[in-house]
Amino acid sequence: MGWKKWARTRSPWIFHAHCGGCNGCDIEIAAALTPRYDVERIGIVLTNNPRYADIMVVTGIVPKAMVPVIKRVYNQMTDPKGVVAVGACATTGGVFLKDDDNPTYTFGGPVDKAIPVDVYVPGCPPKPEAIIVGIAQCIQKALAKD
Amino acid sequence: MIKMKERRVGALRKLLKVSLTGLKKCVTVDFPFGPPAFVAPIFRGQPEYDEEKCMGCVACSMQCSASAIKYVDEDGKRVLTVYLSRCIYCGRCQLICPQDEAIKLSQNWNLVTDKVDSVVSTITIDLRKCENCGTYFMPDKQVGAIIDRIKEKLEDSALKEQILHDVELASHYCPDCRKKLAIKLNLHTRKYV
Repeated sequence: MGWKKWARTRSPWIFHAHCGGCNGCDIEIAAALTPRYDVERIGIVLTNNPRYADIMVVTGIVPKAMVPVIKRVYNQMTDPKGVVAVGACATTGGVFLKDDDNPTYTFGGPVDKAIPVDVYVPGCPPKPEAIIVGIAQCIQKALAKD
Repeated sequence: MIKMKERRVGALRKLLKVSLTGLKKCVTVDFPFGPPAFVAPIFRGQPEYDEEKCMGCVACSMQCSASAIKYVDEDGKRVLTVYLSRCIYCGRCQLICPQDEAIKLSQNWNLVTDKVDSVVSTITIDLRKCENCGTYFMPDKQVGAIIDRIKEKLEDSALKEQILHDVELASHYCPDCRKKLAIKLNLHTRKYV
């Protein structure tokens, strides 16, 4: 195991992309970062720059206007990179895609239509523990490669 | 002068408070390594079917606000599936269920996956076959439940035995065949008048 991989897997930096959610999932992510669940004690750090980030955490339904933005942000991240879709809206569309042929008019498809997603965290909103488990799975799947 | 004294007392109290915080219990949960996560008793997690209670009436599927519950009728079986990545855990299925909580939201929160459609909870129910034409028309348990409910309503009726006999007879045929055979089986309600 090279030292780069060791450093990456021990301390992944996450970038939080908010794509038209209701803020429920964002609050749960905030809860995971704050003292109660304090993910910094296991090395997960929040960064506001996608160029430094290893993992992107996406919430929300991804409206049509946000599709080019999220693609650009994904391309700005350096390899290897992972994406975690948090919440029912980001994983499948949830209540906004009740009828598959007739979604709401701003709906740009769930996250996996715009960018490849590694791990899905269902829930509306998911518990902070579930988000931590999801990020841990994403490290195993996307960042543990050589 | 008095103000200064008050300030000093306040500062001392603060110092004591700060120095004693180290004795308090740590707020941070040692989640991935320590004990299992705390789940509140009212927490709404993965919806699960009760094999004994569920009769397959698909009221939950009609009521679902995210259309997460879907059903398929195939080869004499009705398969109800809850796609948990779509579910928003509102609990309307549990609320609307005519049986006593045949679908119930459990405490399971860990549904993390890397394939969207792999997280489901399903139930399979036998359908009743029409004795005349051989099509499958209704779940077996639902027919039983309907007959039970009719029995409850007919407690003091004089025509109880006649009605129950007719219902039992009609319950073996699909709606189309029931219409066709109504005269032959003498199912019309005019005989009660």
